[in-house]
Amino acid sequence: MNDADFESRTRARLQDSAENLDGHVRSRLARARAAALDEHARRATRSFRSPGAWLPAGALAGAAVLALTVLLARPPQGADPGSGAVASVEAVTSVEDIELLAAAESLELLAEEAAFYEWAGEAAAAAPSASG
Amino acid sequence: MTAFATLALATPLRPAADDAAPREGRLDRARALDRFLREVEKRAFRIAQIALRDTDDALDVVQDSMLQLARAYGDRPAEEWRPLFHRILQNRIRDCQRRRRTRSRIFAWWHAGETDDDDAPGPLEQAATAEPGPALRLENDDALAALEAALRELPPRQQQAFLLRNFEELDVAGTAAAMGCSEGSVKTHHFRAVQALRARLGEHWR
Repeated sequence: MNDADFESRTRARLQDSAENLDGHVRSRLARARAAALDEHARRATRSFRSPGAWLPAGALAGAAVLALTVLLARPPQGADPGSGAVASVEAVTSVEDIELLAAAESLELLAEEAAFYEWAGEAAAAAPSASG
Repeated sequence: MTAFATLALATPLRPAADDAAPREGRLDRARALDRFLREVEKRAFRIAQIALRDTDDALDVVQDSMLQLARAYGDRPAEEWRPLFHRILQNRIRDCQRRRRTRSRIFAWWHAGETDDDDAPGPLEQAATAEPGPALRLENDDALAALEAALRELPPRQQQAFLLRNFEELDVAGTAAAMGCSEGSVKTHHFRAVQALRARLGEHWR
């Protein structure tokens, strides 16, 4: 018997012994594994909630705030200094944009209830003919 | 519409969907870790049991190793887990053996007045190193028992190299990483272990 045969036989014996562990040992190993997975899940959740995990979202929010600031600070372009109407329209548009950005749920509401608004529009259009 | 509205529309407004991807990633990772631990746990237990000669200590050591892997290395690439896990396991086995030696010394010192031979191993040490005699081994004709006894007689580094290479089937690089030594040392320890085991098990394994 050469070294390779010897190693092969010892490996087979040891593998058999590992596959034939008693129920108590198997149960303890299963509990140990469950505890380790629990620990892993706890750590994963904690690290997801840690400030570092939110860096990309924070960076995006920061960029949005910066863009808003630049736009608001910019004087109205192409408008006659005397034309107060154009300036006020731009200002109103900017304010609307800010409100839209600040209230993301409003956009969601719009999307979710598009069918309602569509129906309301149709109903309003149909109203005169129905009454007339 | 201005650039803001464009930005607002381009930005996904579905937090639930955005959250689903990392959550799914975490679940995949947990499943992979579960598979890995299932695959190694029995062999890890046997390695610890052979080294420590005690079932409860072996189970404790394996549990500690699993926890440490999950805690410190759960986010590392899965292909790194095996050598890392065995590195942790070997460290835990060594810690356990050290604690036993310390307990043994304290026990021996405590009972120093009751014995004439200070160099005699303490009861805990004796219990830990209790081996069936050669006659009993031959009588049982149990090849596995003989193999385990022969493995326990090996120096620790040879025992580690043999079990990691031959039982856990780590390659030389993985074994070196697990043992914290060079690949050349692994080859030397493994070769010597095989020669020593063959010499000791000669009569059982012809």
